[in-house]
Amino acid sequence: MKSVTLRRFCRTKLAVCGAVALIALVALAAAAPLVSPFPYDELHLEDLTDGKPIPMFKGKYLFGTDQFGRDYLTRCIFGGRMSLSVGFIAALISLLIGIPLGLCAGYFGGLADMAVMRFTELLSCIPSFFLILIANSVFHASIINVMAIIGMFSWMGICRQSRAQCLSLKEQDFVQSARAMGYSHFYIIIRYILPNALSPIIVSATLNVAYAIIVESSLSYLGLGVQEPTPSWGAMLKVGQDFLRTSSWLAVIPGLLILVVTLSLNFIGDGLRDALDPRASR
Amino acid sequence: MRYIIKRLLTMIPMLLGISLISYCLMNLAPGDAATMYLNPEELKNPVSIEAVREKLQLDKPVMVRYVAWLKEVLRGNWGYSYLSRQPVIKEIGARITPTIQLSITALLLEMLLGVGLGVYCAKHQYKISDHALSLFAFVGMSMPSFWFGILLILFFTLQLGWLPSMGLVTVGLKGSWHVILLDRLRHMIMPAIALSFAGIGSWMRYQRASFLDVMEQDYIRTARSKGLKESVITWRHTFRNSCIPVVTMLGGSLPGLVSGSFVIENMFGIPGLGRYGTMAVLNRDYPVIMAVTLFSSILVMAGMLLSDLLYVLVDPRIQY
Repeated sequence: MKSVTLRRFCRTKLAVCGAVALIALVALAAAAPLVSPFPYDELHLEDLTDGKPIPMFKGKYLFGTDQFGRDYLTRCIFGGRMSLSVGFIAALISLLIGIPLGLCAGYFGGLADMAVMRFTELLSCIPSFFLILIANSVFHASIINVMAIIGMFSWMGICRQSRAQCLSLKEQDFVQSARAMGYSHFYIIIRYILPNALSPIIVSATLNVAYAIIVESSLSYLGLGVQEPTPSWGAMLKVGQDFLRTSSWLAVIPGLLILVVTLSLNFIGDGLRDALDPRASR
Repeated sequence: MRYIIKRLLTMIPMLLGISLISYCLMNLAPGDAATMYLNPEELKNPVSIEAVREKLQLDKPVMVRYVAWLKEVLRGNWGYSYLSRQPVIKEIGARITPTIQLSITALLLEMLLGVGLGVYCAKHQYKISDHALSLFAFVGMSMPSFWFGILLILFFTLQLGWLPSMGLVTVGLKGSWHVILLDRLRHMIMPAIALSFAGIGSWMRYQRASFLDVMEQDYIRTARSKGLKESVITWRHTFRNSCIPVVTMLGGSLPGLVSGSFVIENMFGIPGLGRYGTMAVLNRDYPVIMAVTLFSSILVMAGMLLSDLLYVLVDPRIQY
């Protein structure tokens, strides 16, 4: 990223706050085995009174425990590991599908363009969450499959955007001259079009990460995503909902973590949009 | 009119494509639907499993089955649910109304609140209330709807005891029509708020940007220099013009609403299309999954068509 962009980005306070919060959470999740006080699946049934979860700030458990006496702070950190990795990898997959398809459709036009755009339109008409739900029930519910499925069904926006960028870029002089120099189509797309098309795509990619995290937690919330005993924020919410009357923090904490992550990503996306906009004079 | 017919005609190949995609996707499943069809007693007998497989044509290749399914659907026969053995179309009919009700209520909430707050923000640009509301919009856009639903239940049902958290109506409630209507509204309000919260944020931001954009136009300056009243400038000149780009949001927000209702209906126990679809997915109920996919896609497409038509209505410069 250019230093001008970085400087502009730093001027938007909310975006910087978002970036700091996100980096902190990612670092925490990455170092999960080192920083968490207990193993995530260690039961402490002996500490429970009548099988009830231990409340927050009591004894050695900062966030209390769940109904099996598993330390909730540990589970939150490990859950973040799941949710964040699903979010980033799914968004990466959607980029890997969406950018090449969109750029090719825009660059070559004609039949390729029509085929890609019709297919994109088709997929956007099916409520994407239901599609992901079907796909998820078809394949064995594992973390890798969840990432792949979410990525496979959320590239449509990226594709449309890459195509639009490509359409306006390919008419510009520097692309025309590159073509006159006799470079191959592939080289022109990679070397001339892609770098110039990237900035709005980066913004959408940030929002795609947030979307993927929400979809993953919705799936886990419906019991279809990451399976027990592996913690994930969505699955923890589902369990928390059953204890809402007595131990509401079990549902509040994981949701709050999801909100912090998605909010940070939205702030970052917004900051990037301003920072990468060449027309902005700030 | 010709435009509408053309649009309706393009929906046909789209629906064919959608049905083909979801049919193939579904049939990648390694599991055996025949085992869902039978009760545990019959499952012990391999002969009856074979018989069911033959009856449901599960032994044929996917494409053959797809064509057979399509033929039946075109004749109006959507098949029978594997689970309840009822005609699918009858079950869908009973469940599509709550989903439409929920989506429309949420859409109205989104539009009214989003547009209203957006205009308010634009009128008070860079004031503290604008900043606060912009932050609120961001929170709304980032909020996972199911968690917001849980918070609503926690607060309004468990703490205050004001609103019911499950179902569509109070079972066994009798009374005159307004008692019933009020009861329905009381059940609908939390799911609708949870579903629309994300949309409110994006409508608000969009309306704010559009309103600010129009406020800088020459014709607004002209209106002001003519000495028109501020309220006339705001509502007649600025507001009406700022709505034109915002109307396009209508089509875009529908897939999100229908997708969102899959989670929200499960959470609040609303017997709608989303809950029905989720149950069907969990139980590998193929005919139901197909029907839910197609009907929810039709809902989305109809909404998009409607918003395109509305666009013509708001902006007289556009003609098809």
